[in-house]
Amino acid sequence: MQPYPGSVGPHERRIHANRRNHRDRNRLGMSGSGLLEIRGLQVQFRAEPPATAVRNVSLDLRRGECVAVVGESGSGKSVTAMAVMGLLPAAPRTQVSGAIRFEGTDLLALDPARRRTMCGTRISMVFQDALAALNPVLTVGFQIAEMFRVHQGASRRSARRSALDLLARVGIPGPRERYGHYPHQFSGGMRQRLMIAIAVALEPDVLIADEPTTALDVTVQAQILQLLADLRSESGMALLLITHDLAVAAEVADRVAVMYAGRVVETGPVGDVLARPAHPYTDALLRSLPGEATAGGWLDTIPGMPPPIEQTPEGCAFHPRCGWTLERCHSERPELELVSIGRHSACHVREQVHHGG
Amino acid sequence: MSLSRYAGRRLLLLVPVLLTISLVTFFLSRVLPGDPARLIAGVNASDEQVARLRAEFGLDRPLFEQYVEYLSRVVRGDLGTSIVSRRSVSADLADFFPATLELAIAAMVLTAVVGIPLGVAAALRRGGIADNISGVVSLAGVALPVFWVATVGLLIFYYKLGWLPGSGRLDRAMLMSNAVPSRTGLLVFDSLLAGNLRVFGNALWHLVLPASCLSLVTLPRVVRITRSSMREVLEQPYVAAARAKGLPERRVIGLHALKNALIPVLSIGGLSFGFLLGGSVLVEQVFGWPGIGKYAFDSINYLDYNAVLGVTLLATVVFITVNLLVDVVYARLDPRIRLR
Repeated sequence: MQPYPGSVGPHERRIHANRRNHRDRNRLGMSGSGLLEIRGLQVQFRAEPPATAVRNVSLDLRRGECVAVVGESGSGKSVTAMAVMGLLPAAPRTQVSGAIRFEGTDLLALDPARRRTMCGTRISMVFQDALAALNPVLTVGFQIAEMFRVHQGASRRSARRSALDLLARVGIPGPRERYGHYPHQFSGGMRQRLMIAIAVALEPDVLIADEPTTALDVTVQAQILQLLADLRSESGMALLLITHDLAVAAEVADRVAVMYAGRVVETGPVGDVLARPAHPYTDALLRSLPGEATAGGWLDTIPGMPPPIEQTPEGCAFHPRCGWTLERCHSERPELELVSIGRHSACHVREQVHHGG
Repeated sequence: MSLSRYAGRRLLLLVPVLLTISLVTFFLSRVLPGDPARLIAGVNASDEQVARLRAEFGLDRPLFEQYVEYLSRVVRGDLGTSIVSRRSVSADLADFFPATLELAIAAMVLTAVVGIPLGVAAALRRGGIADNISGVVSLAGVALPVFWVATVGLLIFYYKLGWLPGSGRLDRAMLMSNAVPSRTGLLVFDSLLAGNLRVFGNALWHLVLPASCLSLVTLPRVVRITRSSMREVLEQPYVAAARAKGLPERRVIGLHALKNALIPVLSIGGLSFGFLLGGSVLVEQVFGWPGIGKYAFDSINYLDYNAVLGVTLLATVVFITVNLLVDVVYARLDPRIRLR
């Protein structure tokens, strides 16, 4: 990874200032509670019949922590991220209920202008497809410098200087030459670095990364994950990582939340959950990963398809694909319940799965 | 490839195009029935007089010889003499073209200033007021013929209400006084350069009605393309990303989205501008606008060969130049486009 250039630039100073802030907040006793608390989030799209993409999702993200939200496409993980960022289409096209509290302030109750400003400065987001998410007709330098110009009212020159610093910091070689280039002139990995540069420009407290490495090949993937880890250890920002890839989650996350059909079905420390899953879905996901145990043989697959969001099965949404099904799984939806300290699972047979799996 | 090399190559392309256009126009105008010498000389002229005129204009020689001779003169920058005005065609064009250019620019500015915001507003709120207005504008542009709108506009705003002048580029008194020296031939610019605000205002006032009527040709197209292009752009991930950056909505729409949405608008607008320059004949006729459209109309009526050819060649040059300019601006706007 590109080391941060020697001199103490405005950036590094800002990082230190931020760290001080973090300490102050800690002293005020704000670190114990979640930095970002999602409570009973429900997202419904207007359609016939109405499509509920996120159902009663609760998540906590503490300061400096990395939580991975794992699930197949359509499980509601991206929609959750969009809801936090306020990027979902406005009502009546979308109905959002529940609460998304950031440092105790409910974002859903905030007026739109203040909420918008909070995005980019305190909470920011890295999108999956960097080529599509970068504006094709603006130079990358402009797109980064804009953050300082708009949010900090920085002068053209100082914004440019900060942007150049950032380009170097996220590992773009030759920042000066690259400053005036357009997104299409960069490789996939470099584009994702640019996205990350924009997202971390103002040292946010929370970074949401929606499948940040999915579009990249494996070596570049590792570099980007390393970059995110480096940035996190430098600035102490919390990371909400949205991914379908358990291996990625295992590598970077502290805790994991597994989503299925719009609900969180299992949460816990990532090592524990992956070592001894307490939900059949997590278990099945793990079994479908290539590993030493399965070398040379066939990988397990999960039978069937995830249900379309407008017709989620009665009872436990996973029961048609589950190997542990009981009678009550067809009719009675399991709630998230404690499995062990810090571990929850929404499954009627969580104990058996947890111990027997 | 560098911009100047690209522009040079494109301008070089003008040569074969102009040759073809001149050839077609030359022979087409000659096969039309009618005898310009007879028209000029009048019905009472003797055959002898007509023959003398014909010889004077070189109309008695073989067609192909006439064409070659015409070309050799054109290459030297001489477009010949107008049969009607008895002046050099180049001088006529220099007199009449700026008036048309001014009218076309005014119509284009009006189109952009009204059409782009309307299209954007329509895209932002489906079924909203702006969306409905833009629907009406699109329909009106297709349904209402320009000469009809021009006539009705004249009837209402000049004849009934007396708010706007009925014809010409300036009040007669002002025109006679030669208040501003002609530099560009565009009265609005010339008066500003001379610092004469009275003439400036008067010239603008005379432009309002004809430019509005003329913009009826371009406005619906620009509104429609802006609306659809903006709608498409608003769905793009980079617009969501701009919002995620915490930028104010005004900046998200007005900069991040609009700059992308304008790309197709520009190419439609550029084509329309060429069309305005050539298609203003009817509007100029109704408003007595001393432009190239009126000149072309008159020269066709009188079979003024040299004038017709001169107008055609000028229109070709203008059209190609405008297209070239559009391409250059296009490449400036969209960095993914490489000029080839």
